[in-house]
Amino acid sequence: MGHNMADVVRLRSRPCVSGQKYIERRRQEEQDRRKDILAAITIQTWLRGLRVRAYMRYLHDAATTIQRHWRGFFQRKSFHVLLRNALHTRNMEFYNCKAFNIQKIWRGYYVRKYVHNYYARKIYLETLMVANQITRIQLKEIVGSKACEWDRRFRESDEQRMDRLACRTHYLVSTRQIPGIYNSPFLKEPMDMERRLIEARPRINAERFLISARNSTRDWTEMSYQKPCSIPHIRAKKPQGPFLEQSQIWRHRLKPLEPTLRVATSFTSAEEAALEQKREEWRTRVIDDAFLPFANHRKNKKYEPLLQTSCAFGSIDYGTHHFRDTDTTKNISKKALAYTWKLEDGRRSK
Amino acid sequence: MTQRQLLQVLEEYLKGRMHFVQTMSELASRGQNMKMLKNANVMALLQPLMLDVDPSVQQIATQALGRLVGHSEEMAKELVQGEVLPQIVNSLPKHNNYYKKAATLVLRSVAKHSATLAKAVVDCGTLDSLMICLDEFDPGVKESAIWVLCHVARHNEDLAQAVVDAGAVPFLVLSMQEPEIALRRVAVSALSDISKHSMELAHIVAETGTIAILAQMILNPDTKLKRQVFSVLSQIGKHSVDLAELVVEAEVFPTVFICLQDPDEVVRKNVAILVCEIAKHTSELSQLIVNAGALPALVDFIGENEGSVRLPAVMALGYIAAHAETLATAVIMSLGIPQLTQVLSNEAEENYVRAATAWSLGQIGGHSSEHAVAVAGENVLPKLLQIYTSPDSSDDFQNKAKNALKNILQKCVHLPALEPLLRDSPQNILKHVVIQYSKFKHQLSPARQVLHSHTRPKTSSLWVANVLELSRFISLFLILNAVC
Repeated sequence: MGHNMADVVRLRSRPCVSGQKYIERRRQEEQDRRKDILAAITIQTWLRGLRVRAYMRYLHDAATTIQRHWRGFFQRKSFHVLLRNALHTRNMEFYNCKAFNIQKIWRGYYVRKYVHNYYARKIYLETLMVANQITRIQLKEIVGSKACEWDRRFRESDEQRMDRLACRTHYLVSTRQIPGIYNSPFLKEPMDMERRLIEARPRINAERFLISARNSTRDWTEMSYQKPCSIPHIRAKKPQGPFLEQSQIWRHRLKPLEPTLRVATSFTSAEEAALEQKREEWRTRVIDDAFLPFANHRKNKKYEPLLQTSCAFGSIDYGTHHFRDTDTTKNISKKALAYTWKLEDGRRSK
Repeated sequence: MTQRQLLQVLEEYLKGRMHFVQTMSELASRGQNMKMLKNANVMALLQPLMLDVDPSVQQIATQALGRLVGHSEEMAKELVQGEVLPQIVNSLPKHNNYYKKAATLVLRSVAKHSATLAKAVVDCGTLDSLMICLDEFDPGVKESAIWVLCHVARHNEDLAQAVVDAGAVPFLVLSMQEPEIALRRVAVSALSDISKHSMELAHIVAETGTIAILAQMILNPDTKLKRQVFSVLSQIGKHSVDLAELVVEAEVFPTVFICLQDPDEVVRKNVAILVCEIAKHTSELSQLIVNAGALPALVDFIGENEGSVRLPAVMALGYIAAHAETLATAVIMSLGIPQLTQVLSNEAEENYVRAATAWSLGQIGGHSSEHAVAVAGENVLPKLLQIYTSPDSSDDFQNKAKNALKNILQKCVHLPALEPLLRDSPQNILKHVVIQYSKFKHQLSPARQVLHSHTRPKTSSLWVANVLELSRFISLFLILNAVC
């Protein structure tokens, strides 16, 4: 309590206040001053605390608000990214599934068609069996016909052998007096050999030699350098004189004709060759017009006009009447072009 | 002595010589006189006569010598040692055709016995003179010259190479197209002897367009020519895939099967060898052959023939089946297996043919279970087992039977076919059989029935008594118990 003049005045003016009570009261106040100060301090601290706490609370709330707003904003932003990624992965998984499907179908198709095609194999085996049957039939046919031929050849060679035997043993033929061994009286008709014996004709020496020379299926060493006819001469004495060998003579006589080139060409060969040449030329000729001789060259020359003049469209007009001739009918303005030159004295000429 | 008397004596001498050489020539053409002639030392007498003044004596003496030498090897060696060959070879180009034929007969007879003699013949410079002979017009001379080349080239690769280096192949190709049959035969056989040794030689032969010419000769009616033609084609085709493809490209294939039924046995065998050599190489070639219709031809061939003629056909089937599973199925569907089993069970067959059949069956059955079932259905497995266990089959035969059995067993899941094997098989086969049974664990009842009837008595008494290691016994017992 301050000791103001106003207070003093106020106190003096109060009727009920005695000096004693005032002094006691003041004494009590002095004694309670420490308590009052402490109480005031307590109240002040509490209030200060309240104030600070309220301020802190306010700050906390502000910060929380800011953070709240920020967090929301930020998460919403990254949520978009997250969403995009999730969508992306979902899409990829979907495409992967589809791709797996395509690959699966493709692999199955490829393996079944190109690596191991069950149906193609089945068809192949069935066709092969059918082809085998056909081959069997064809082979049988061909071999059948060939077998006929082989048989025929075998029989023919057999026939030839028997004919040759008949030729060599022709003396066994039966005569009217003595039936031969192949013509037994106990048989109804004579054997086949009898027929061959009758039909056998003697072969001349030269034919025999030539046949043996041409029969090259035998081994050469059997057909050695020996005299082909070794029958001794019927005449007792050998004829005198340096005669040629029999074989040489027959070879010479029976030699096939080997004409020379001059003999072999026909005497109309020149004309034939000329005809042939003409025909060939006519065949291969491309241009049929006669090739005119140069003597009447100028008379026969046909004038060929220029393409330009003979053409319907004619040539372009430029300076048709005289050099630098201009046609002003097609100009935009009616005035003719004027050429001006700058002369030395600054004038312009027209 | 007057001149007339002198001439008479000389004429008698000439007659004597002619008579001697002619008789020697005739005697030498028969084999039974050889010993006599050898003891009489006729060679020493004939050798100087080869250089005689009179050309006809020369020719006949050479011919006689050629025939003599052709029959025995010692005389050939004597002739080579006597150093007569260079003289013959040098005089080859100079004389007439008859002498050439006789001289080439000598060379041929020497060269045919062995490789050393052939080399001696080549060392004398024969090949050049023979080339001159090949230029002649006379087909007989050409034939004898080519025959010499044939005999020389037959023995080994160096000699064949020498023949090729001398430039013989174009001549041979030209001679193949001549009209004379004997010349063609001998030319084709010379090509066959050259090309059989190695791939390069076969290439040289095939390069000159020979295969097309040979392909045209396939349907020629002459038997011996056909033998040689097929022999050449098979020798060319056997060396490599390219050569085999060349042969196939010449479109021999459907036509060749006609000759599989030729009346002559050697032709048939050569055709079968050709098919076998070509089928051996790759699966594409086998497929080509099968598409051309080989399977019915081969199967009929096996059915109709006997003996070693069948061997190449059996092997051809084996090779075809070995390449691809489809082809094996094709073989089965063409009824190849009954024929093969018939060959296998025919006791009178040669062992090597049966061994080849066993191998082929193994190849057919080894692809998958269907094939194994088809093979096992013809009662083949017990036969194979019997061959494997019998003591008088050769090692090779036993081996092949065992391999075939293993191949088929690994794929066979047909229980009735496996049953007969349970009784008598040795351990290594039995192991496979039991493994096949163990695959049927999930089907207990049929397996159990079978095992009850067959193996229970065995597990109790016989096996214990047999020579079985204890561990193996235990493992087998466990497998059996697991199946039951």
